[in-house]
Amino acid sequence: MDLGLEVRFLSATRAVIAARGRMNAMTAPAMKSRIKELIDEGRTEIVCDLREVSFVDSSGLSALVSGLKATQATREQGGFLKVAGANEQVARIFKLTMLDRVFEMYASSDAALA
Amino acid sequence: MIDEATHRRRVWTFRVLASLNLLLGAAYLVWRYGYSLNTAALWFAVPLVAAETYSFVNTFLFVFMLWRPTRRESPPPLAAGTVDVFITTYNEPVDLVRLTVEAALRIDWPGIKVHLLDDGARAEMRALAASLGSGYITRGEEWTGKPRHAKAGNANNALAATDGEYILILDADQIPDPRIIRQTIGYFRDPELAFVQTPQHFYNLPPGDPFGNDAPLFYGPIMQGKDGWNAAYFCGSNAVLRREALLQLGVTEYVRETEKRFQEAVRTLRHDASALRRQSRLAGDLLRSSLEAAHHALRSGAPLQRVSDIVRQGIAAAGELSSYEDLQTIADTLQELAEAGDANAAETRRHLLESMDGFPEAMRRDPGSLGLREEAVHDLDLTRASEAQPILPLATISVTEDMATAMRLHALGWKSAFHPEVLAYGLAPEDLRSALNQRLRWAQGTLQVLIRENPLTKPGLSLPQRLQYFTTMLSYFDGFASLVFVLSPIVCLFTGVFPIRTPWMEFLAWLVPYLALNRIMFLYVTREISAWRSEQYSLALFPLWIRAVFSTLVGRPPQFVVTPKLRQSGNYLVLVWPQIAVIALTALAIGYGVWGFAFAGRGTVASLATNVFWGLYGIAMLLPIVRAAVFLPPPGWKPEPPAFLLAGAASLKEG
Repeated sequence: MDLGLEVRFLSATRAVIAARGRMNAMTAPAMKSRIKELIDEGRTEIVCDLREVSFVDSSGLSALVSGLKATQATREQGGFLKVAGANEQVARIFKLTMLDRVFEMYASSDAALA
Repeated sequence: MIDEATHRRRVWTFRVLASLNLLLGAAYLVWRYGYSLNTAALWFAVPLVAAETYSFVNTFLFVFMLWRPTRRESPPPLAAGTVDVFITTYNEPVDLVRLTVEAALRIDWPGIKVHLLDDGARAEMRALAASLGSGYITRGEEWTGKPRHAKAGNANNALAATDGEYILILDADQIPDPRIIRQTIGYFRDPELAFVQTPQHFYNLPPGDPFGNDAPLFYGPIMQGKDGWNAAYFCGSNAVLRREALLQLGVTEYVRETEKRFQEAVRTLRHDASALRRQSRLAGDLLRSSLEAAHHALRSGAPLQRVSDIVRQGIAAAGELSSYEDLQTIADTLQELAEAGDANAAETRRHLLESMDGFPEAMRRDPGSLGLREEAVHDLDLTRASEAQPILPLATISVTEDMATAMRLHALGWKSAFHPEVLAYGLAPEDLRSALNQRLRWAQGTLQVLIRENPLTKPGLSLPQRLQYFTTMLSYFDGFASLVFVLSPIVCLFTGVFPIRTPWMEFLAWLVPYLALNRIMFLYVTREISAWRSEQYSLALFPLWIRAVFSTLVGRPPQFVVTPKLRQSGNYLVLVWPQIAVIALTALAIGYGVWGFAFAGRGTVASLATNVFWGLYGIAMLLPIVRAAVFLPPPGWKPEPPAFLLAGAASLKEG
């Protein structure tokens, strides 16, 4: 089961990564490297849209956290990594791990960018 | 039935003839290799001498096979024993099957149950069984979407649905003699005997047997010879088998298959564990060590369930461990974020580290994400989910399941017997295409067994048994030698190049006695039967044998095809074009050679005569199959099964 990744470029500095499927050790590395690529391109305002993600495990969380750290370095230029559209089960894991306090979480990517 | 003294006399006569033949053959080969090879034309000399060597090896194996043939007489029947009759059908017409079922219901044996095994699941067959009062067995739901294994699967399915101590297997067209059980069941007094095979006899052979179906050599001297080495074959029909032997075989094979499957799964997972190790070293190492343990457990014969558990626990532990590693990575990253001034990150990190003991189940790694191949994990399962039945007593590795089954039974130490009396009467293919397809299927099936379970290395077989199976398998390589033999006179006559460098008279002086003695030996073996047609076919089918070898060794595995028992109309010359081409070329070559000798002074009388004779012999061998391609049965010819087998015969006798 692959994690389908779809990137929408909204501006020179802004992009939404929409993932689909299960975020696990097989698929999370792709997410992590995609985030890194975006930052290298100068797109430092990133929303990870998890609306279509059914499941996130520890390796998925790890990928997101490392993405967060990468944008953190660009904070002064307005860089960020936000999480949007997490379903109930995924949101529960963020809550359990208290990562919902580290990530800014939004109901949708539109809300994240409003 | 001949008496013991006559039997002994015949066996010794054969041994003397055969030994002389082999001695002469060996001397001939020494002369061929050492003194007569035409080194100026190795392209010709080497293939010919190779073909001659191959023939000598075949002769040796033939002699060995016939060295100590059995002389069997029906032992008195057992006092009791339950028998299931399996009549396997797939697409045969109702009237044909009716004859068989009716005759089976008349078999003289208390406690016999007749079952029609209808792999076609046809309403008219069900109705036939109901009207005659026989059982009817067809495949159940469990077979949906699973490999069906053709006839072997059909019989295995019925084995699970019946419980008789002995099983008589009949093809749909094999009409049994009422005495078939009485004459054979006494053999089972030997508790180690797994099956008794009786001959296949065809009542529909057209005059002269144009398609070479009759097999009196096989169902006579050959099987008696193999029987002497406790290597009689099970031939798929007209045989009585002991259920216990089949079930033991099924269970043994199941365990063997499962072990093999486990070994392969463990090997696959070891690869995957190495890949996992690149991603997570600890998890990879952990998994690898549990696979190592499983590997050793398998080798030391630990219960398979235990092996399965070891691997599953290893997978679970590796998943858990890698989750902890993830957690550590997250914590480290959060630490960095905290140092950069993120207060929440610091708090989350503390929370995560505190919760390490009661690790949140919800974020545990997806077990499917360790990069392990699902099929391999699945294979570590004892239920054999890929098959409809976990226990498959009749071998399914080949389209000729019967030979593989016999070989496995012999390897388990079971005995077999060939009872030479005809006790069932059946149909042979009535047209060339069907006949050739049947031969091709046998050839491919036998070669398949050779590839999958080489009798020379299969544990449990005795040396003579190994040689018996190997002899049969090797014989399907005849096509290459035959090709060399039929092409040789053509090459000699057209090119004037000879594979030998000695004078022709010297060649003949070596060859003729060897060939003559070979011939005498063969005629002695077949003195009571007519094997000439079989001989012709075994040479004439060289294109088919070659095709069988190539298609099996390099091509796709063959599929089981039910041989049609009713004449398919058509002109089949296109099927025998290689034979026609060889005949035409030989005739041309003979004409050219004679013309060259007469008018251009080419060659000698001896070389011409030898090649012309050789060429004519080849033509004589090849002509019948060409005639068979255009064969039409004589008008009004209609085969009938022997009258004593038919309904009403018994009651007539009584009346």
